Amino acid sequence: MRLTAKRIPIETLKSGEFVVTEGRWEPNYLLSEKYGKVSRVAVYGIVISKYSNMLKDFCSLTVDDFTGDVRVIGFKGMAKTLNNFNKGDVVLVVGRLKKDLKDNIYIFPEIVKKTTPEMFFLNVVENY
Amino acid sequence: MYKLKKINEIKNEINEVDEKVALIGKVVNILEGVGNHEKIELEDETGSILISKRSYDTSDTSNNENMEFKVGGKLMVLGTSKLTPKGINIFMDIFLDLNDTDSELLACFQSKFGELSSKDKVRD
Repeated sequence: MRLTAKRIPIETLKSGEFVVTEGRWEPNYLLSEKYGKVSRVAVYGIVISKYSNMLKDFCSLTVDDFTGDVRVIGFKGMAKTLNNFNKGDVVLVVGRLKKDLKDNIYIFPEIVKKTTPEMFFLNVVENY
Repeated sequence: MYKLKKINEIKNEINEVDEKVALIGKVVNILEGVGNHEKIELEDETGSILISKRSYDTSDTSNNENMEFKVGGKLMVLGTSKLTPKGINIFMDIFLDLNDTDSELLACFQSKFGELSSKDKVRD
């Protein structure tokens, strides 16, 4: 069964401890004091920067929710999806937490969709 | 990361210059200029500040190239605060049109961030 995506502030991704599990089927997770084990996240934020290289099937967005910012990195098919978004778009990103080669946490997205500022504000009021 | 601030917090704190900030306010004045050198005056309950449509970081394409503002419109502006001969200005990177946003929801959002930032100050 797919793990629940938790709606957390982006600052949690910077403050928690990322645990790499040993088992093949055990997902890696971020251990947070307030939110417990977090493997999948649902994040609302504003796209503040974008980098894409469609020749290499790569696209990365940086999403900011005023508590922190996080990179959303997509390859191949997901890169094409991310390339449709622009700086200034308010987005919902649902995906898994991963660590890159420089030990920075990023989101490997499953769903990315454009949303409205009202949904972003509502998420902050309900969940932060 | 952009920090959500009130206008007087930026104007009163010299440490807030060269910072990435986000502001919510109403457009009270549009100052004529050529293309992206146009400035707008944004006001909230704590004061007003000049916002330049020109982004400070020109490496990324911003979403503000073809925008048109109306006096009385509600906006969220994300930009960089800079000290200019005319005082502290904001160079706009991104803006969001909040004209259709419920004012009660906006007030709850702003008060939530007020609570979060006061908790951070206590922790420091």
